[in-house]
Formats: sequence, structure tokens, C-alpha cells
Amino acid sequence: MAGIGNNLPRFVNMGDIVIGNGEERFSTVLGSCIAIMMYDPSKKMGAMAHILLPQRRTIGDDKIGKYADVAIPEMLEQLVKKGCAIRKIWAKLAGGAAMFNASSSFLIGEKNLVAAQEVLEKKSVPVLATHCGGTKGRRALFYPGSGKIIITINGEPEVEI
Amino acid sequence: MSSTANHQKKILVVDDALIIRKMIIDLAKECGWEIAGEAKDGQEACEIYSNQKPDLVTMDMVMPNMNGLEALKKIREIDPNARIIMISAVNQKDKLMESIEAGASDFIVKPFDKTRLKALLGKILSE
Amino acid sequence: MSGNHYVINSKSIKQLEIAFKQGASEAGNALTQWIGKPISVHLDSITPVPLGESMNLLGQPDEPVCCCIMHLEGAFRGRLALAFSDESGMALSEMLTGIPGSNEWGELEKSAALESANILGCAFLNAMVQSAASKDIATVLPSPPSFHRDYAMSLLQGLFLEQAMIADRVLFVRTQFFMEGKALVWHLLFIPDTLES
Repeated sequence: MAGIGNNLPRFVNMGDIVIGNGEERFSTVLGSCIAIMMYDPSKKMGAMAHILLPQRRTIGDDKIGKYADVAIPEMLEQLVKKGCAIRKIWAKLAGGAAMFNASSSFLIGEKNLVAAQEVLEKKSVPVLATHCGGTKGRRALFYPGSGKIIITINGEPEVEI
Repeated sequence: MSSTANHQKKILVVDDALIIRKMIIDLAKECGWEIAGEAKDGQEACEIYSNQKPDLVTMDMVMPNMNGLEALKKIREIDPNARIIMISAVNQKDKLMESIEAGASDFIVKPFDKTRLKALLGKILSE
Repeated sequence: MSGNHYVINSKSIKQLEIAFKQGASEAGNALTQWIGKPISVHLDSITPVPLGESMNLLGQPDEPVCCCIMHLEGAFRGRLALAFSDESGMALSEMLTGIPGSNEWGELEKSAALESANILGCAFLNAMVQSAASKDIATVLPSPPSFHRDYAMSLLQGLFLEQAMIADRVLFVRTQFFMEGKALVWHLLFIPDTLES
């Protein structure tokens, strides 16, 4: 699996949902998009999704990982299939910046965050930390085997959330 | 034109780009003209104009807060004799017409030729 | 067109292509005069691609990229973005300011980049408005450009957001720049605000 046996983390593109454990690392880059990271400490297993929009527009063969409302249930389903227990899982969120402060992008980052939080609350998954908002992009590095998350804003020191 | 005749003339330079303001200011100083001030937007331009009453204004068109066309109109309200040269990368007929109708003395398109700009500034200042 | 948005169809793509080809020639002339060296500008591509593919336009996703962005309203509503690496941007700034060896984005350096984007963007717009088939097309004025330095993918997400909200394929116009025969590492993107047909 990508990320094991080499120095590069596996890159999570827009709409991707990935599950991992052990020594794997997942990374992504965010603007107004949100990275949803989930972790089950009892199984030492985690999942990451890179969502672009709050709700799916139409039902089709589109990547469900793009939308908060369908990505989150899908992540949970995949984690449960691997033996995780929903009541043990927590989530952390990163991204949702208002890039360029333009009207649409200003709203969508915030909407993505609100949508993700609402769906997670409905699924009774606690959100332990967020690193969201602002006007700058972020790089998120997730260790699904330990739940460790490192966030970097360009030109600033990295932060663990 | 002798520098003795020029040294009393004051120019207000208006552009949101520092590099353009610097180019025009350097050019004006080479010709012995004084700088009445520099402004980053139309709002600042109007305020400085009211205080300094420069002999000539160089005015960019696209700027934040207040664009050059609005500033041109406002300054001409304050002073119907104000001499304003529009210096802009926007070269669209109706904007050109709107500037001239609002009382701009002339219009130069960026990127400008320095020799041409010097000649134009000199011509208008001598009128 | 519907309201202020483009409809992505073969006709509107063709119109964009004609307009940008016209603009490329004017843009080259303007840049040559601005920088003082011969620069040619060529239309590279104008086809819809999957959203995921568009995220590689400016290099590696986490590579820092500088981007000067202008918003356009009117007939060609969307964003115009001039993007370059630090090295390319500093080289451009040095050519314009005459100040060698600068390796930090100070106010003068940013201003040089921004004004280059302004001149380039306006040169395209001037030609596009002139070439527009309909003479009723309103004047297109850009916003003052803004300077951003961020991860490539973060910038692209911001640029393609309007389109991504309604479509899975995105449309952009890309141009290439050549100075004295060598390709410059600059990217000019025009991303129209769109409605899918």
C-alpha cells in the first residue's frame, strides 16, 4: 500500500476516502475543502476523506467522498467493516478556508465545516479538534495507526491537533 | 523646457501599484517637477487633491476603494479646472470616452512609453 | 449566456478560444513593452477536464506558488490568475525594478508582480472586448489584482470552486509564455464562472 516502505505519505485527492493503520501516512492539501479524519483508538485504525461540498447534488456514480453528507456515513461504514466500533471513533477536521475572500468561496469553506459537524453529530461521533477557517491553505498529514494529525500553513510552524 | 520654469509645478501621482507610482515619480523628478503627493486609491487622491491643489494629476483607473473614473469626477467637482491624465491598462473605447467626457485632459495606456509620458506631462503643465 | 454566467457548450468554448487567441497577441505586445524583452504568448488549452486533473495545473499540490488574481465581471465573468514560482516571480520583479538579488516578497516585488498581472489581464480583456461578436457586450473591467502565496492545490481549489459547485468537469483557458524563445514558468489561467448546459 502506498506510504509503507517509502518516505512519501499517500496523497488523498478531492473526493477520496482512505482507510489505514500501522505505519501508513495520509496527506492532503486544502483550500476551502475539508479533511475529515476519523480514528478508533481501540483498533488503532483511521480514515481520511477530502470533501469539497456540503451536500451531494444528484445521485449518480459521482465520487461520494466529495460531499460531507454522504462521505461521513461511508467512512463510518468502511471502518465498521474493518472491525471498528462507532462509539469508539472520534473525528478531527481541517480546512474550510475562505480563499481569496470572494463571495462563493467565502461561504463554502464555512458551509463545509458546518455540514461536516452536523453529520458527525447526527452519527454521535465527537469532534475533538478543528483547524479550520482563515484565508490560507493547509497541508494535513494524518497517521491512521495512531491518530496523530499535523497541520501546516505555508510559512508557519506545523501544529499538531 | 528649463528646469527653472518646471520646479514650481506639482504633480499628484495616483495608482494602487507602488511600482507605477515610483516610475512616474522618478520620471517627474528627472524633469524637475515636484511631487504633491502619492495616493493608492481614488479616495486618498481626492483628499490629497483638496489639501495640495496640484497642477496635474496622473490617475490610474482600476483601484480599490474608489476607482479612477469616480475620483476624476469627484476632483473635477471640487475643481473644474483640475488637470487629470488617466494612465490605465484598460483600453476600451467606452471607458476612454467616459474619461474624456468627465474632463480628463488625456488618456495613456499602460504599459506607457516614458518619453511619451514625459512629453505629455510637460505639454499639459505648460498649458 | 444565461444571466452573467457562461453556459459550457461547444459554442461558448469556441467563442472563448477566438477571444483568447486575439488576446494572446495583444498580451504579448503589452508584456514586451512592459518588460523590455520580446515575449510571446500562446493559447495552450481550452477543454473541459475532470476536476481532479485540474489540481495538477500548477505543479505538486503542496508546492508554494505565487498567484496574482483578478476578478472579471460583465461579458467574461470569472477569474484571471497569473501564477509563478518564487524564482520566476523574483526574476520578473528584478527585470522591472532593476533591483538584483531580491529573494523576499516585499511591497515593491509584489507590486511588480501585480502590475504585470494587471497589464497582462487588461491586454487580454481589451482585445476580447474588441473582438466580441456582439457589439452590445458591456465593458469588462477587472478588479484590482490581489497577491497570494500558498500551496498550489489550495489556490486551485479557490479558483475552481464556482465551477466545482455545479459540475464535475471544469473549463479553463491556459496560456504559455516564451521569452527569447525559452518557455517561462508562468501560468495564466482564465476560469469562467459557469452554468452547465
